[in-house]
Amino acid sequence: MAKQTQMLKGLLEGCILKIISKEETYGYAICEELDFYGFDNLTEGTVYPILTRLERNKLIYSIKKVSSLGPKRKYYYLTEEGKEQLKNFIDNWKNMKNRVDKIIEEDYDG
Amino acid sequence: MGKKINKKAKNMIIMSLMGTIFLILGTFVYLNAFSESNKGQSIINSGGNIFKTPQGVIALTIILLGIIAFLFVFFIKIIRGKNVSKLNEEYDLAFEEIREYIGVSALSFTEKRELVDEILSLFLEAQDKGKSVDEIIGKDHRMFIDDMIRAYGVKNYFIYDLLTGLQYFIFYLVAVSLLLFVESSEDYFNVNIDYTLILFFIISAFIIIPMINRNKRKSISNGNRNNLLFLPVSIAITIGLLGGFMVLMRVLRKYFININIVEVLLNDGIVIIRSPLTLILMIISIPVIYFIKKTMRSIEK
Repeated sequence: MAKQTQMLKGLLEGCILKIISKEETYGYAICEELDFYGFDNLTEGTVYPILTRLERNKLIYSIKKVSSLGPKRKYYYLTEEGKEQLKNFIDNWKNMKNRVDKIIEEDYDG
Repeated sequence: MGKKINKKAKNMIIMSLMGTIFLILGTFVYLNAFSESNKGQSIINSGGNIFKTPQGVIALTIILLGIIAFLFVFFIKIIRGKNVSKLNEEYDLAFEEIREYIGVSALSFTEKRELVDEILSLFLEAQDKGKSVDEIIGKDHRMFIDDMIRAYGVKNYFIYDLLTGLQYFIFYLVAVSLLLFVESSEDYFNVNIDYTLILFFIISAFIIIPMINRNKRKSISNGNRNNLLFLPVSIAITIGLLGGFMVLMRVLRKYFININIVEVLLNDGIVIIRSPLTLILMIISIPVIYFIKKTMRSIEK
């Protein structure tokens, strides 16, 4: 966690919000999804604190449901504020991506 | 995996059972030892019905509390113990260490239980998928658990310990006043508490208990594989401080009693709870401090 930059943490939070927005999901499944999309060196130890912080900041909420594996599992959903934050994140990211892309393309041209 | 009964759960149940039995036994010893020393309120004088005396009521309350506490611990441990027993050895070790650490963290009771359940859930899933502990939470277990606790918004142990100590201190004062009242049958709002006793409470609440918690946290963060190592050290700290305290009082009495302040400290006392209002304020302050601690947490984000 100490090695992660602020930027990566912010990006991860946004990605996690998006993953939660798609369908109800739980901690472990979120990790697997991130892994599937290429974040394969993330440990659950990194993702879980982010989930806790998001819930603490009321961007997501959780409901405990019975799972086959043992203790009840926390399923996460976006709150209204979470949906707003997700929209902000996507806008910011697209903006950022545009600017960075332009600068990089210019380099190659010159 | 398999039918291994969680040792820790079993220990907790045995300890709470023994604690309850001691409470009950101690109460009966107390009742018998003091049955003649009260002004007309002894068990004998009340016609054999111990529940008519203040001692009887106190004893009954203590016994009931003991039984309730025992049942509470029993059920919580059984329910979680069933899941914990599913952990394999590697996960079990890590889980116990983490559980211990969460126990002495500054989280509230509900938050601690929530967090422990979450981690247990995580461990069971990861174990099911065949991953190792280090794979999912990294090699530095302490950093992982610190991150989880920090996500709840807690950072400053010192103030937290101070506030907790204050709660204990208030509780001691109220409780000891009650005991002294029962023993002497005087007006509860005129109970005189010795200064030495007050000093002892201050040491217990603000030094011994925080020290034990800090020692617990440190022993876990040092990666102590034997996570019960904190226990002998905690006992040693307690005995050491208590013993030191008693020795200090003896020395003061023997050599320094001619100094005015020392004489007052050793022989006099003070009435702390002087009116029903004071008592009510003191009792209310305990949950109030609890909410202060909680608010502190949500501010520290």
